[in-house]
Amino acid sequence: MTNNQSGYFLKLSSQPIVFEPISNGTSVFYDKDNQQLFCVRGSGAMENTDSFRFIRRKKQNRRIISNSTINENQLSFNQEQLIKNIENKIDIIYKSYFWKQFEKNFLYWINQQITSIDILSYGLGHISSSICSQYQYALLKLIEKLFENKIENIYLYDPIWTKDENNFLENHNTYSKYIILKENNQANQIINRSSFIYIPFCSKPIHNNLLYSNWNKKNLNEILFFGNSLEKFSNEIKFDQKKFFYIYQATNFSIEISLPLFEHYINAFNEQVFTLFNHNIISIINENKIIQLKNKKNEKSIENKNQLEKITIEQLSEDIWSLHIKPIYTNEDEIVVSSYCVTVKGQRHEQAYSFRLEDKGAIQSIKFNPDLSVLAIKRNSNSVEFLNFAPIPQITSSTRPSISTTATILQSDAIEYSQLSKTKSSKLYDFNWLSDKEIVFVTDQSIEHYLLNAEKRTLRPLKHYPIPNTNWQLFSREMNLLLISAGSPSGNSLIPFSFHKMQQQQLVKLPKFEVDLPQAQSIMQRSNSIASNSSLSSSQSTNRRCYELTERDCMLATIYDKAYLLVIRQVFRVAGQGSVEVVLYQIETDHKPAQKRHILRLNLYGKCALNVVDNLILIHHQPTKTTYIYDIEENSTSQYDGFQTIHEPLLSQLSIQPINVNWQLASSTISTSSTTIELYSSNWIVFLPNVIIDVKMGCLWYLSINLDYLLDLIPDRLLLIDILLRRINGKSSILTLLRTLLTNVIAPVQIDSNNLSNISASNVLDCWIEIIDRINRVFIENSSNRPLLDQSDIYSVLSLFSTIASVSTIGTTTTYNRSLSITSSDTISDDNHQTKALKFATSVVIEYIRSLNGFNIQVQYFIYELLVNLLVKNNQFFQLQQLIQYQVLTDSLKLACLLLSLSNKQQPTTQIALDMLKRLTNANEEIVEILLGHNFVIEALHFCMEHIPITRTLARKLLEAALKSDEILSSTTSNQKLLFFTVYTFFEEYFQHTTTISALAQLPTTNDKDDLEMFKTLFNLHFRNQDTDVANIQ
Amino acid sequence: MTSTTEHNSLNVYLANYFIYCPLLCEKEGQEHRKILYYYPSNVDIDRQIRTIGYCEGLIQFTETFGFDDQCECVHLQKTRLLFCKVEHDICLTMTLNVPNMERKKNEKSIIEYYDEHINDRLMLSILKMSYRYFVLQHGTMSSLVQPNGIEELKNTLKIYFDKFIQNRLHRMIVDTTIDSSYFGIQFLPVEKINYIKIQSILRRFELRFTSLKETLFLYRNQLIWSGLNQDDTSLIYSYFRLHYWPQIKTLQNTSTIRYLTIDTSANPSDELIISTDVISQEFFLGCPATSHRIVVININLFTIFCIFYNDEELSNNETTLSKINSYKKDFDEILPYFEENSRKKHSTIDANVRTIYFNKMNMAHSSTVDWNREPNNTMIGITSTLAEDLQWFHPSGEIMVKRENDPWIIAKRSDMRELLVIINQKNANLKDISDKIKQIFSTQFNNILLLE
Repeated sequence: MTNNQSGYFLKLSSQPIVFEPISNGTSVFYDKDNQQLFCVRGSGAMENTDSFRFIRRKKQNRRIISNSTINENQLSFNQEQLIKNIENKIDIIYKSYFWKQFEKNFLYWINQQITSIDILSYGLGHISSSICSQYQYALLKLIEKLFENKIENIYLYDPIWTKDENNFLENHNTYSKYIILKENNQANQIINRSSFIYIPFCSKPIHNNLLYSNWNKKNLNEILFFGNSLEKFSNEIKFDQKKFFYIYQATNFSIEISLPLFEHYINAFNEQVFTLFNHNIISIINENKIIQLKNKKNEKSIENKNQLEKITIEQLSEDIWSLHIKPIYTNEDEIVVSSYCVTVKGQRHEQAYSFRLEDKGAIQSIKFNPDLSVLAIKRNSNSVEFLNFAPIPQITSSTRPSISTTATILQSDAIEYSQLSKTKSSKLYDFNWLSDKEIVFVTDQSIEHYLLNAEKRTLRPLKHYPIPNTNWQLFSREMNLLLISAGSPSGNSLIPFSFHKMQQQQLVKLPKFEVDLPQAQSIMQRSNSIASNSSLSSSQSTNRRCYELTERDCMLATIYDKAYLLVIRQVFRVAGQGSVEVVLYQIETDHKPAQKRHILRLNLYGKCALNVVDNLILIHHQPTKTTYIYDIEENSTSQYDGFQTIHEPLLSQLSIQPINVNWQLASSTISTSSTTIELYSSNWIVFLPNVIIDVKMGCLWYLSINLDYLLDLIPDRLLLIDILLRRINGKSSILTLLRTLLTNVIAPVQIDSNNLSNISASNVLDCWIEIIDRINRVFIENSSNRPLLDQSDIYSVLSLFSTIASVSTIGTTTTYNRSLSITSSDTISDDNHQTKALKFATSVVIEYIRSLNGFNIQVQYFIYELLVNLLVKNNQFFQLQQLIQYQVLTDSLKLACLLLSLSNKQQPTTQIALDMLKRLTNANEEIVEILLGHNFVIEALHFCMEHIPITRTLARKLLEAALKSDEILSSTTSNQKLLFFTVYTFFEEYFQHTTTISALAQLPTTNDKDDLEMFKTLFNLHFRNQDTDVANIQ
Repeated sequence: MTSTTEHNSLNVYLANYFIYCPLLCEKEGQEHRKILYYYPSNVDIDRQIRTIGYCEGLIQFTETFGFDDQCECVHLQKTRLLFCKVEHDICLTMTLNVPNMERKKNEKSIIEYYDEHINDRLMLSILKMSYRYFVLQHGTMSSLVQPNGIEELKNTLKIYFDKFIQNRLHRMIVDTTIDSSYFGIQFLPVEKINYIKIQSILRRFELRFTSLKETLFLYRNQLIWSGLNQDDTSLIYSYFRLHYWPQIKTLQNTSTIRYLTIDTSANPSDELIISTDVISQEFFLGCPATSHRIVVININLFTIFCIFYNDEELSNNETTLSKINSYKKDFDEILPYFEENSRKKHSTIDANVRTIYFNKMNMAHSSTVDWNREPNNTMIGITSTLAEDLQWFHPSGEIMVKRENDPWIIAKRSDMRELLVIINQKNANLKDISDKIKQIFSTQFNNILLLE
């Protein structure tokens, strides 16, 4: 039964949405409500990942720092404070383990150098504002301090530095070694002596250009990089070997030394490595790591093409050095200082879009309105900027089949307009689009509701709700819900607001409620920093999380059409043994405070994430890399304690199906390798309902569930059907379930005899009765999130009964045959089996009809047809008669026709069919036809007189039938057109009587007259040639 | 008992009943061999041979006229001969004495014979039925001959028919009416929903036993479901009406499950054997008749015939009992509906109208005539005669008859259906009756198509 397809319950979408990984100057925003992923390149958009930016060569785009539009005031800073700050940080670095390792490696290198060294530093970022930059600068300072005598010059450059920052750097130049470069040379810097190139978190082009500038053995041997890993670059999804030729080549012989985590501020030096090229220098290096691969780089058939031969710099062939192509970057790749290149990808609009934005500071939040006509961007803490967009060009999918490869470029309006938060002093947390025109700002003091007029580029304030001490907010447009945590410092006092999607300008405040927190011994101070990584000392972070409610632990979701707030919490029942609970608060719209309804228990402890797929709650447990699944409507896994329902996992310890990402499919670049994804990676960010984002890989997946997997997993069929019936996509799995269930009986595969008792016909029928009742109950309830299996669906299962061969007709197997030979007894047992199978099939169909009747669902004809065919196959005509007699098979014209067609077999079903037609009352014409077909002419005439208006066409029909019938009879008896005579005289008399009254009104056409004329002559020929006789007869 | 020894000459009574097989007599002088059974048994063997030879002669003689069907009955002044050929060459013959009455006319006593008081159709069906009852319990005669030889067959026939003729056949001949002659099936009208419920229970029940072939389900004396073919169903149903029902209706109505069998060798009053253990009985069903085991379950007023292929499964009494008992609840559940239903009956029936309905296609038969209460003896004869006459109509026909001081009798045939209506409206004319009939058809028989 198990196949590859059904091996895993959880699956990631096979084609992820691919975006630039977050590390290299790209920041990513995910808009849950629009299901859009914003990928902002070219800026340190996120506060703590500053990165270098290039200035483009083209003149029109050249920007000089002094011309920067950045508000000087805004970035003005207190120099003394900064110095203090940096000294403080130097101190921290100095004491860290990270520094110990750093120093060890650096010392080793510096001691190998013959001359004194230069330090080249690029892209440190805003020292004045970014903590990251401050740490990076502090490290530089520390090196400077300790190796002062070895350092010749320190070259510094960052185009984003403000005047003040430049000044600060010059003033802070304790050792007078700073040379602050003013001209942007695109990092095409040729070294003069041994150099330490300090480029933390810089982009590929910078690395590439530095390598290009120093592309000879001598120079490379003298360089030590501290920055992003070249290996990592080259293993990136969309790494372009041609464009970044030097990085690609350098990975051939480069040696990388990674450093321990800088625990105080991880983001400052995370994943930054030393890179050097002189193998002689490094003795620490593990020789085993240098794998001598035999394959040549131009052999295409090598599996892992990205992986070049690992050789030392000396072994490198000379022609590599002769290659001296200046790297050229296209617009697409170029990271532009003045504008962000924003790519928007998402499920909702299928198409990827890209556009450019002016650089006006780091983007903190970016969201489109639902129809993608207005983009809202939050860059600072009290205003939101808006940008209008032209309507999205409609691209028919036929012209562009590969949607994911190319992005449509969106044209934005030139003018940005902004809205300041009303309360000046307040801090703007975030904003939410309620609809295309409505937006809500959430600040620490209030909620502000605005109406947007895109044409006029203005916003009109609608309402202002002051809410003091707001901690954070949750928003779901789908659920029409905005949840504000306010009032209490521990964040557990929540105020829900509901709004009406259709009806504008309504934001209804619902009663506030509190989420209970585990008892705290002392109220901990709320920390603003939410930065936490998996390796952060866990005891500390969990302690904090226990006693306050943070945004990260709360989620809004609709489960079974009810709005819930989901809260993850770590519980310590027994000392030292923790467990995880997810508490569901139902938010009701009828002005009652939200109620704690469900508790999901997980006896594990550690980092968890939630997904909600098809009303199932999935708890991903990161440490064990497993997922636990809960169904809050399943009774067998839950118990009600009088207040809440406590749930145990329905399915435990599942894992997501391993997936390979084929980059060729996902991107336009040439590389063809496919990579296995690390599941439950600590880089994963999970969004409700089913979004999983790996920020390091640059992939967004939608998590889906494979219900077929359950078919093998849950042996209890009734439990299984209940679970499947609650799944919106449960239909096909239910059908598979039913099909296997029934096939087991009618065509048993005897694999193991243990199971045989379980699948006896009687048990299966009992099971079927229950299942079909449940299916129909769901069908009749007709709720939107349940699989509705109509009769054609069930028929598709039941139609497998048509494979049962029909039983040989009664009487062919005589008693003598029994004793004759083995073969004949085989056919008897075969027959016997078929009879049993057919009987079972009949029972199954009747049960289905019973269930349908029980729910007052009208049974469709094809179900009856199936039943009739099964009965006929089994020679059960008498049973068929009984079933029709008791109205199990409802009368219908189609059914009557089916019965008529069966009538030529051994059993007369014409009578049943005629009765049925009579009961239908609208099938009188058919009755006449059937009677005439049986040559019951007089009976047909009688029937017509009572039920059908007599017309000349009818008369003609009857007269023809009478003639035909007479002919048949004349062969056996001496019939002398007796029927014709009777019918003719009747009509003659009838028309004579009615010509004056109704027949005139009918206006018989001449054509009709002619029709009957023929019969008249015939009649005269036979009966009127002797006039006297006719008179006597009449 | 009484009818065998002294019989009223005004009634029809059985003169003799014999079974013979001409093939068994290979040469002259062996004529006695062909006699398989002869009633009365005290008749001299030579007389037996002569009577049989005489019947054979009649049959052969009529054959020369080349009719398709074999001669079935011969009307003589004092007796009536009825033949029935079974299993290719075995012949059943029954001789009936024609009712007669001695009259004084012109000082002479003349015996008048009422030939019309015997209806061939009715009597033939009894003759055929007597054979079918035998087959049901013992199998076909040819199958009996094969393992055991002729003598054994003769023995079996003698044991069976002596008892049958004594206990049943005499009464059947005297009491026969048009209703009893159909050997039809009375179906109990049940609402669709409840009917499907019963279907569901029975079908689940059937699947519990691998060797269970079919079931018959009855409430009181009316059939609700039969999984058997039509012939077997009507046979078992008639057998039930003959043997089981007279006893069952006198039984205490309990909800415990009882198992019933019939001992035909006992007297009619105590032939029913009741047990709380599973007991079964052999029946020969199907075509050709093969041995089946029958378990008859009685619970409340439900009677369920369970037809098993063999008794393998039945040998384990315990499991069978528990299997059957597990369905007791289901049967209990549907009972209230039937009790309710039977109470509701007999409401809107016109006291002056009696109907007899028979559909040959599904053997459905219903009647509102109570023959015991019907005072006029001649009416039985008229209805029977009319019913016989209807056979000549194809596909439809209608006869309306009235004798002085008698009710109107309307006989109607429509394809496979026979319908007899007795209307006690003595002063009504033909037109009135015709209208009345139309009205009856459109109310009581509105769900079927009656051809005219």
